[in-house]
Amino acid sequence: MLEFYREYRANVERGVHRLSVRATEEFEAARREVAGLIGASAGEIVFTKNTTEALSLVAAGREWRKGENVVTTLLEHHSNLLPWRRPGVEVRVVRPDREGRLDPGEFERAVDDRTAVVALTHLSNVLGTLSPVEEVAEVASEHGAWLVVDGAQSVPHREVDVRKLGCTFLAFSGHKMLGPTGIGVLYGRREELERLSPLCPGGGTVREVTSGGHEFLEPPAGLEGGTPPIAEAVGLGEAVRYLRRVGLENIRRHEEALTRRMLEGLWGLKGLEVYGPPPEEERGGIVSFNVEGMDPHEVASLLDASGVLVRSGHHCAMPLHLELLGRPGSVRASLYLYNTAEEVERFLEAVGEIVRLR
Amino acid sequence: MELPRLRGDCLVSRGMELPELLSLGRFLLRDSRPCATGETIWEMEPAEPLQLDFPTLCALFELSRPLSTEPRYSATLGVVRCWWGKGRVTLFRNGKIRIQGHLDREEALRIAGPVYRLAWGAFPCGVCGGPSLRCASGECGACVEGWEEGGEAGEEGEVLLSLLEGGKEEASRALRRLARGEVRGRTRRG
Repeated sequence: MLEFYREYRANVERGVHRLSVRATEEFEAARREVAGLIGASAGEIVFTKNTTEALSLVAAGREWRKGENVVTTLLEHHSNLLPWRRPGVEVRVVRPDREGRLDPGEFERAVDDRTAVVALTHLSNVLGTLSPVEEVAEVASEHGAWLVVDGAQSVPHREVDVRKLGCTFLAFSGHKMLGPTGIGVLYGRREELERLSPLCPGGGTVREVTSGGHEFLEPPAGLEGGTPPIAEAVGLGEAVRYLRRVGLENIRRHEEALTRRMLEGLWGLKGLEVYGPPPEEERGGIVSFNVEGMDPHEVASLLDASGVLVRSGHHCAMPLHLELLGRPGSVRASLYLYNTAEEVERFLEAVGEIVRLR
Repeated sequence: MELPRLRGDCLVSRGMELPELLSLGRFLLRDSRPCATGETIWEMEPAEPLQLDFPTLCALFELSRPLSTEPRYSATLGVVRCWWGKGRVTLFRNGKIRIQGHLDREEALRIAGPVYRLAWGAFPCGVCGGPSLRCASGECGACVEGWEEGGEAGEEGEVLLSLLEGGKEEASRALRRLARGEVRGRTRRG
């Protein structure tokens, strides 16, 4: 990113001067790198501001018909719930079990021929549960519905191949995968991307404009209105290169070992409510819990005092907290490739102390 | 009674009143309203992080009962947690205080004032580096310019002295007076 600002800071896809040409090359190289990460082609990658914008681009860019419905789940981040609430569109919510597991059979019951979109998270940002995306993809496909997957918590942490998943769209963010803030990605199957209208029509999205009409460019450019986040895309490209060098499978295995230890440690403590599947089950490196008699923010403050930084609150998943966990919020510890076994032990020791402070 | 004559820049000489410290920018006041609970959380902390003497801090809170209720201590986290009136108070070793309890600014300050007055004895003196409780008694040495028969320790200093010299009951009573703000004045300057 520093290189961009120091050596070739110019707009992309517009100029013919050397800086613009270089910026365009680097920007498109980042797109190819991101595409390679998820088994897509570069023409199927749209750069957005974040996951939220990517999901909203699908919801707002689709041409809706009266009487259509959307099937989603109680696990969703608000960003994969609110965009689907549209006039005349029914939103059906599939409930997981107490640990957050989704039953594909529930989708078979909820999806019908009026279902336009099935929207679900790949990996819950609160419970760490993995969704049965491939099974749900079959259900969606049988009814001709789009399958929109929120991959914000999965793409950075494990191998994801959009062809194997069978999704129509996949959204994720740069800041959760060692990249900068302000950059997100929407993958879309080429023929379906072409059916979307841009969220921000304007500069960069059009082939031709007359005083009375216009013709949009084909995607991805046609969906990336205005000057895109160039430095951020270049930064994301570099982050993806690094992650691929380390190996997503290595990252997954590292997180799995740390998560198991973290869960075993927490499950041994009295005065805690730990959410999500048990340690032996396959899941992501997200561990949420509550300490009896303390609100999550207080717990997070106390952990901060011992150098452990965690999120607290509803994590933009209020329906999940209120309707499944029966709590307004939780404390969430997230693990990644840079965390160590020693840090997990330090975390467990601090949580043990906090429990004794009740 | 022979009392220490303290240097003017010793913490005991300077005193510790929160509103004054806030207005001077030596303490910062911050409020946040994080998601999920909808409650305002008040935090105050020294502009420059300090390291309070934890054993002294625990002793002061223990002796201040029943003004502080259900005090709990963790040396590992460096935290004292208690109730103070309707406020849930967490005092950190670095001098930060966190107050919850659906309180407005004035209510939070009304709680923070006495808590800081109480914790004052555990604050590190800028001169000697030790807890100010030791300065008040003259035990630290570095802040003592001399000793005077019948000298004035000032009311705050006297309270701290009574902790060292009096019995537990007397110390506890004195601390509660200090926390309630019934003790005024500064230790005489050296």
